[in-house]
Amino acid sequence: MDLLTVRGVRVFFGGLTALDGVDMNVPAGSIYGLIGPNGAGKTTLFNCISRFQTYANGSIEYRGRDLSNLGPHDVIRLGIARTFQNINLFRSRSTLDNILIGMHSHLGNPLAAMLSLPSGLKREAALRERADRMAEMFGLTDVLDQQVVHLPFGYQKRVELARALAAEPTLLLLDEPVAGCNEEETRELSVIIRNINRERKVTVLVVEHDMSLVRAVCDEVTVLDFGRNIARGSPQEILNHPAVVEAYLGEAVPVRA
Amino acid sequence: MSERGWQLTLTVLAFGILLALPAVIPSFYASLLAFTFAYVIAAVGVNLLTGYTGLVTVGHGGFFAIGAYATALMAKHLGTSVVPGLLVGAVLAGVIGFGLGMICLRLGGAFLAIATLGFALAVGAILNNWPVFEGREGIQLGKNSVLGLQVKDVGFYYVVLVVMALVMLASWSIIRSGVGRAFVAMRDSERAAEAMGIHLRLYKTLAFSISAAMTGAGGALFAHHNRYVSTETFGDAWLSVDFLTAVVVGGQGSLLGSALGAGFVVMVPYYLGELRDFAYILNGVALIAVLLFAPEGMAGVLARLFRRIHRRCAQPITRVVNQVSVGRG
Repeated sequence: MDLLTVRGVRVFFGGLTALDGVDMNVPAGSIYGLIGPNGAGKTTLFNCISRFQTYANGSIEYRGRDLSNLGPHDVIRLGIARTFQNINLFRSRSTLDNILIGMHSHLGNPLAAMLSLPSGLKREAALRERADRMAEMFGLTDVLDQQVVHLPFGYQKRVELARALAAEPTLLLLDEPVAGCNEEETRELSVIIRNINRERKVTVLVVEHDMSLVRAVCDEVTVLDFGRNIARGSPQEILNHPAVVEAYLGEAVPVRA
Repeated sequence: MSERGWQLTLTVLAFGILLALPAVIPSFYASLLAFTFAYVIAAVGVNLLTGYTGLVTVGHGGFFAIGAYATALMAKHLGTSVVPGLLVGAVLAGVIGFGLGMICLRLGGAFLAIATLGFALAVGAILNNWPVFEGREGIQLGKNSVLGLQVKDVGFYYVVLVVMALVMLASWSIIRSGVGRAFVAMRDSERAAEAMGIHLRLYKTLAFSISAAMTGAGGALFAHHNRYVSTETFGDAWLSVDFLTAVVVGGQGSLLGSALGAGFVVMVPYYLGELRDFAYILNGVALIAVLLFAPEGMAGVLARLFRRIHRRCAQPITRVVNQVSVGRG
């Protein structure tokens, strides 16, 4: 069954066509890759799904529900969480607070929380306990009280993932999760992403440049170029697909000896 | 003792001292302190919006005026006393704050600062020109009574102290809750906050209206303290500038900072006496100095100092404990 269905989505920036009728189906339970060269429209589509970007035509449905009328703060309540390309943490806050803010959609009645009513305090204690468990899962227990700006890069990446998962989403959108990572860190994140998918039954949609990550984790891939679909298949099939090779490397021209 | 434990102990101690203080100081100073507390209440409100939520306001003098004139007009026309005036003043300021928040929703940074400044100036202009408010003539308030009891300097000191404690408690409760976390999240990154499910429009207007209500409460108490309101005080934007100065100099995102900063902006002109006009220069110098050398304000500097002492005192003890446990092993 498809968790997410994208049909004929078009986005224009002034005269520029960023997405020109894109289709994509993300099966429930999979790790799905969305790739393409620079300017292909990957991030635009990603933002359409997370509702940071409006689209002119087409439809995006999540579990059969149309997303077009929802705002960015709504989709997390349906179970869609996202991360950002260049780490976008709450800088001045601790690791714990970042994870707790990730649980905002589970806050319950804001008035009860604000006034420290018994029901609010009970909820807070429950959230805190879950945040502790989340931190443990990502190996962040030792830095719970540290301000996130002072954490090393690898830790910040994990805080961002923990924060997104704190909302207990069914669909996790990852925007270039290994951008800026070295090989070691990329391998580490691949393992984490696979664990998230298998153990927590979270469907993952990952936008990525890095082919090694795509090969390591994705079950299926959609390739975009100039705002259009050019291929779809397993990572292996995709990497040998002539249209994909052309998009990334240019047209094959016979070389005269 | 943990840092949290120390914080609690020192807070209780500070309020204990404030409770006992009128017994040992002349009533004139009690009155001056009550005046300062009204400023503290306003500054706590401004800090919630500017310090925690990151929305800079140069317009909260307007809400202070709304609280003050609400209770003054009620006292004049309906003969009400402090408590109903305080409640109506705070609620009215909160409602108008909600409206201003809605209007300014899409503004941030310098644009928001200018828009809120415009609000303060508009309030001043209305007070100056609409005859109900009696312009520079002002409105005189009768003797203060609370719940049927007449209060003088010391009595009123306790009234303002209690309200200040309640406002600080409310602010603390909000800040440490998920709602407070949402406020700070919006300050740090609006995009990320939205992605976490924080409804920016709702939470920004909420911050705006709570902050305005608190400042309005401060204004109402200020009016009863002086027993007089006029555009001499409320006709321009200087109050707004004072509050922002208090928050920045005292410490953004700190309750202690609101108190220290409000104390600073009240006490400096007071102790300068004849030279009070120089207070503005001093405030300006303090602002620049804080922004350059201690962006976390007076409260931040104090906290750093405290931590250093705490560590120095704590260190030998842990060493001893380690040695003891090693010895046992």
